[in-house]
Amino acid sequence: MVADSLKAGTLPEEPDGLEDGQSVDGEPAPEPTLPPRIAAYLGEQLQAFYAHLMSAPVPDRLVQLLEQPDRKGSASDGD
Amino acid sequence: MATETSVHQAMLAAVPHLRAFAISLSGNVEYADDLVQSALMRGLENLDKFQPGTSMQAWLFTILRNHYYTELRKHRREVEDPDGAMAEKLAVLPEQGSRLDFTDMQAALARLSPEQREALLLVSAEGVSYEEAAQICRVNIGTLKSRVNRARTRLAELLALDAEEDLGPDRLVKAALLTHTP
Repeated sequence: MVADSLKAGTLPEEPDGLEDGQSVDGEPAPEPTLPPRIAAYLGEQLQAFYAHLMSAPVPDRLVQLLEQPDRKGSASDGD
Repeated sequence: MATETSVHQAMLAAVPHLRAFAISLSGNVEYADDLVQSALMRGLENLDKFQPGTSMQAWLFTILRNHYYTELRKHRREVEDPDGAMAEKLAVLPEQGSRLDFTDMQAALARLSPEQREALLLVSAEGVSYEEAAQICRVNIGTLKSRVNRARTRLAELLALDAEEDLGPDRLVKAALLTHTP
C-alpha cells in the first residue's frame, strides 16, 4: 500500500553528478552568479595577483634549459 | 634552423606564464619551478608532436597541467588545503607593502578544487579564451564555463567579498587602489 503510493508518486529521478553543470535534457544547471561589481573586483584582484607572479624573475635553470639545445656545433664561445 | 630558434623563443616567452600558472595552481614556488622545468623538458623531447601554427604556450600549459594531475594522483598530497597549509609555504609573495594581500588570494585559491582553480586561473588570470581553456583542461566548454563560474563564486565567498557588505573598510581601500569607481 505504502509501496504502491510511493511507486506512483516517486520523485522524479534526479541524476547525480550535476556538479559540473552537465545538462540533462539540454537544460543547463542553474549557475551561481556574482554581482557585476564583485565579479569585476575579483577579476582585478586575480589579475593583479597573477601579474605579480609573472613579474618575478625566471630562475636561470629554466632559461638555460632552452638556451642549451643546439648551438653545440660551434664551440667558439666558451664564456 | 630559423624555425628551431623561433620555437625556442616561443617556449622562452611562455616561461613566465607557465610559472605564474604553476605557482598559483600548486601554491608552492619550488614545486612550481619543477613543474615548469619538466614541462619544458617534455616539450623539447616531444617537439615533433607540436603542431606548427598552434599556440606554443597553450601546448606547454597542457603538458604542465597533465603532469601536475598525474603527480597529484600519485601522491595525493595536499590536494585540498582546508587550513591553508600549502599557502603558508609560499616564499615568493613579499610582504613589502604590496597593494593587495596576495597571501589572502593564494590561500583562497588553495581552497578551491584543483579543477576549479585551473579553470579560473586560465580564464580570469591568464586570460585564455574559454575554448582554449577547455582544450587545455580536456573538458567541454560548458563544463569549463561552469567551473569558472563556481570558482568565482566560491572565491568571492572565501575572500569575504560580500555583496551586501558592500566591501568593508579594508576592502574599500583595496578597491580604491584598484581604481574602483563608485
